[in-house]
Amino acid sequence: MPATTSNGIHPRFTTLPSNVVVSAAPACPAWESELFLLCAPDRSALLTLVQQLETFLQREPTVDLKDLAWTLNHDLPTAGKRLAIVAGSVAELQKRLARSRERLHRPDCTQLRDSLGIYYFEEPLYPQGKIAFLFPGEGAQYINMAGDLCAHFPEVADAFARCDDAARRAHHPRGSLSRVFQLPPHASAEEFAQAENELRQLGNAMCSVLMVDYALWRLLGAFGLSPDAVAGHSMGELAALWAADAVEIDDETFIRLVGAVEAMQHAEAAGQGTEAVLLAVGAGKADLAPLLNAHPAGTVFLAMDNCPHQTVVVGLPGPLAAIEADLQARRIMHERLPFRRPYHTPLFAESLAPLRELFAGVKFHTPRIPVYSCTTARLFPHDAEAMRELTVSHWAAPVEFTQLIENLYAEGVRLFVESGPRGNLSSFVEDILRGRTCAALPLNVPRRSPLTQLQHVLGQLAAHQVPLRLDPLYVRRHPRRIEWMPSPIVPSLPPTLQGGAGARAGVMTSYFEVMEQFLDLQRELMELYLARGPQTRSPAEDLIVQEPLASLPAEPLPAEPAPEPLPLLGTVIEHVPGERLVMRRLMDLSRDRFADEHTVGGRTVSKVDPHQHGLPVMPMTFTLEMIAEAATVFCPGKVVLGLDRVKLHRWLAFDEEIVGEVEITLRSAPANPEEPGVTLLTVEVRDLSEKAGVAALGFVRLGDRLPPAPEPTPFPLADQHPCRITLEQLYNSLFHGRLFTGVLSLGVVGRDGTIGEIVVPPRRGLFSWTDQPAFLFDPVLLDIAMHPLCGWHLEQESQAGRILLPFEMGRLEMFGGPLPEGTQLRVQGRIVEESARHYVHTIEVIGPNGRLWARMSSLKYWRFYVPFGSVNFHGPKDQYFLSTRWTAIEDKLQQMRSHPGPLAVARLEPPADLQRAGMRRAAGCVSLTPRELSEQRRLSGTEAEQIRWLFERITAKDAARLLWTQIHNERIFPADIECYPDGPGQWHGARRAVSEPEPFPRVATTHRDGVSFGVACMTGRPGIAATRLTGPAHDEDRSRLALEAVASALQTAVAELFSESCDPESGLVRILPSANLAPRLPEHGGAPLRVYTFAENGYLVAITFCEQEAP
Amino acid sequence: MSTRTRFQIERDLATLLANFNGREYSDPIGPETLFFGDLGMVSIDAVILAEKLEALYGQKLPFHQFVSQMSQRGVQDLAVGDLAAFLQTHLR
Repeated sequence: MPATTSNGIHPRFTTLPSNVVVSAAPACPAWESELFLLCAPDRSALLTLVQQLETFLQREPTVDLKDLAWTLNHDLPTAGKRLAIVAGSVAELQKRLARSRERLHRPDCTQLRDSLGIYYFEEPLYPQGKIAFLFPGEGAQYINMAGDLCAHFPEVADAFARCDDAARRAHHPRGSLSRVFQLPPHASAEEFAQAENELRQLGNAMCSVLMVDYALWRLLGAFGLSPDAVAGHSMGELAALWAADAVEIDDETFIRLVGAVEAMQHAEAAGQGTEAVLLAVGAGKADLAPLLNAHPAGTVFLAMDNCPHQTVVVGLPGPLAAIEADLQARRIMHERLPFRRPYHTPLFAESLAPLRELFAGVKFHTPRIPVYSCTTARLFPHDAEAMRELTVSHWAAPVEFTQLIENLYAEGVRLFVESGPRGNLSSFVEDILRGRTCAALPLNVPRRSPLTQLQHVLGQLAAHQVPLRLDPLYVRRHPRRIEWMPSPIVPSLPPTLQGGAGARAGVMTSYFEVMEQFLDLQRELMELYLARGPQTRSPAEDLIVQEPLASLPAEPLPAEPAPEPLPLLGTVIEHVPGERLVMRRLMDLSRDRFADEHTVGGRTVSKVDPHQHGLPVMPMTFTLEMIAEAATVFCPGKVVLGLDRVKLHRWLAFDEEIVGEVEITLRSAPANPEEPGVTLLTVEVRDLSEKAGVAALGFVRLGDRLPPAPEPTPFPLADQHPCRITLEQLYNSLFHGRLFTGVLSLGVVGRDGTIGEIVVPPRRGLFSWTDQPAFLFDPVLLDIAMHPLCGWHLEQESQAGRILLPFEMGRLEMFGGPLPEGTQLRVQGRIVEESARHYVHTIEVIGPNGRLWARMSSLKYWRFYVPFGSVNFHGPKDQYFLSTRWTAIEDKLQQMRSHPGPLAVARLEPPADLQRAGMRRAAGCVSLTPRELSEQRRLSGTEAEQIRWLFERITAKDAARLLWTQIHNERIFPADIECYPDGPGQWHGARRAVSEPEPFPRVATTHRDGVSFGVACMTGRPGIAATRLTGPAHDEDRSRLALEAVASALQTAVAELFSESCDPESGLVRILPSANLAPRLPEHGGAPLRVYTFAENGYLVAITFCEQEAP
Repeated sequence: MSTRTRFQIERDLATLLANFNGREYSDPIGPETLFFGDLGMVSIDAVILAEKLEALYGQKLPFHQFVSQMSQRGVQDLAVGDLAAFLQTHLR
């Protein structure tokens, strides 16, 4: 088991009490088992895949299972037949693959459901069948439930930490809930028995199960699972209401809940109220009815109808003893439960007061997900009061679990996932629905490793076609791609390929140089910075990446950390107080939810997945906040006054698949003699995932207190007029999501400035673990303060691909901390154009008291050119094309073709700016499907190859989209087209998430001298070739290109073809297959193939559809 | 005294458990095979298994004794061999 601190929380998470020592994360040991998913369009293709994998494993028996699992699982197609296997070794995997192959060969095999871990369903239950999550209640607890899941999944660790903290504040005798059920592996039998007894106490049982229910619910969410309905059993019903957002369970409520349950536990132990006997019986309601009816009314009750083979009978001691004897005589299994109070019977009504009081203070809402009541076996009412009453009275009413499951089944639920420990509910479901198709999946069971059981459940869900993302299994383990498939065809590159836009003079060429400066390490700046820093350091030291320290830091953490955990604070790696502080922070998209609201490239990227956005990038203001938070660790007790001369070298991009990491190094700097009371630190931010590249450099200013807020600077504005840009136009041009939307009005605009109004937006949703992040500044508001100035920019005449990205902040001064949501502020901003590439903004943010809240001076921006006319580069991606439609060629083709049909021809000359690595990633995020984006991530060729990979693909999609729109009058997003290469320059595409086969354009592309060309058609076999034309087009050139075009279309070599004739007038070339090739083209009747060549716009282009010349 | 040998009983159980309740188990099932850890059975399955065995052997069996023995042993898993021993004792 990986090392954990004494309260079971993984050391990586820093929201810990100050007496816990923090160390760097240990290296990751192999897991006991891995999940492998194979997916193919049909069963026979699946069998081929199985065989291929078997062959590979024979060849590479030492393959790392985690790497193999990730390779298989991370870009799962949405449709097709799926086989899921759980295995702990290569040998096991081989055995299970062999078994799968044997069974799948037999046509009578319609499913595989092997406890060892083999799952296949010819008729998957989803999406026709719905999914329900079931939450168990007391009785489900067991020692070491959920095992070490909190070490592997932050969702579980966070949930545990939260509940533990609430328990501590509720004065739980153990100080935490997880301590009650977590025992170290070396515990003795006595310790074990004692722990079980303690856990069995009602209060502990209820709260610990509730905690695990909640933690597993969070975990399921991390895998992208969301149910169509939820329900809970006894205490588990509260977890169901919680999951559906029907109740608000904040920390205060949880504390009171722990208190109320503890009170119930004391009453139980003290034998208060009606004393009862509880009996679990191995028989159903129907069998028990006659036995119960033999006793006077009100003395015995059926408290729980769990399933046909389990009920719980509760009653007064006398009558219960008689029932026991009866059951004994009939040899029906039964067992006394260790409780003494009549739960879930009318006898308990007298004890409901504490619960009623507790729930009186709890807010109920209309559930976000349908919640079924375990009392009525129907949906919870929507009225808050009625919900409250039902929740409370559940405790004095029988648990009608059997009827509940029957009703869920009648509503179409077929998959039941048990989000909680032990798996009792799943076994009830199997019993209730015996003989009917369904799947009951317990997430955590006592006798199986939690990770393995989780994999079994995920495997079955995947096999039933439930959409899942499996990233959480790998995201902290750094998997590598394995080449296991027979290798695909790699396109060969022409030797003269260049990466840039070639011979573009003037602004573009000089800008290219400027871009180099911007995005790479600036040597002179670095040296300047080193010269300014403290004495005893050599430049070489600074440039060496610090290795993570496996041992304790040199000094203990400062005695007084900030009262609330700062949200952008990382882990201390090294701390020499007063001298140097090195901290590292993970960049995890699942936790830093704000990043998904700040996506370079735009927001509206896909109709299939409305949550697909551009490249998530840390906003500059968040980088500043992150620096400031680290500075408070360096100088405890001091206040951050602001930052100076911060230079941003590269953006910090997030990645869906890999958790990145940044490193912040603070060093003390000599004070500025003009500001003796101000402590100065230097800061360096490195992106550890980008070969330790420097992301930012600057200075932090700290003091004893914030200075008094000054008056705003007088702000004369020439040519003042109301801003002509609407808010809608503004936000269409920004790539910010809802959480960063805060401009109230764009106010007035003048010759060199603007005045606008902004508002503090809600903060819920910025981070996964807190709804009220305790920022030092308010980085969201600081970012929003920059938006009104975009109104000025949008008003300017020339809009040619305007993208402004900040690269330097001269000075940030703060005069106040975060303000309440809804606070309105005024922004006055000055805009100076220093050059065609270079703007400077100065912004003052004025608070409700008329004084400054913050000032940002000399905020410098680069202006990027993405010159696609008036195209809004950040707008919805179905509204424009990066490629140019080549109508001149299209018109001529239509006249010349022997089999006319709809077609599209496109050409893309990607601008230099867009070819840079960072921009390519952003372009990928908004143009590619998730599968393709994964592939782009792992490209390992040269810059030129990677540029070609992306832009040829975009051209192919544009050609297909142009044609599709022409035929169907419907727009498609490029990210909603899956492009599959059939070979170099040959594509077949499909609309994403459309599983029915449908006619889709066939596309051919070629790439020459940094330019991509594409042709799309519905019939025929397209092929295209092109070259730059520096003089008149000669016959040889036309013929040569025509041969290339046909070679591409037929996926054969140029040597297998020859040119029969070339007509210089029309440009028509006739191509014949060689004697060698002809027999392999059965449809070819011997007539030449027509190729059309055109000299247009400085290019010579050859296009064919492999139409045969009429005899 | 039983007319079926221990080995025969173990074979009966292996056949029954190889495809039980819609779930298969393709590894060999022997006396060491664990009900919960290996076969992935759950508590209700014990009740169903009891019914099936009573039907198979045509007699009622004191499973409730067996169950209480199990709960006395705590959370230890149960091996096929343990059940076979129980059956051998009680089968006529």
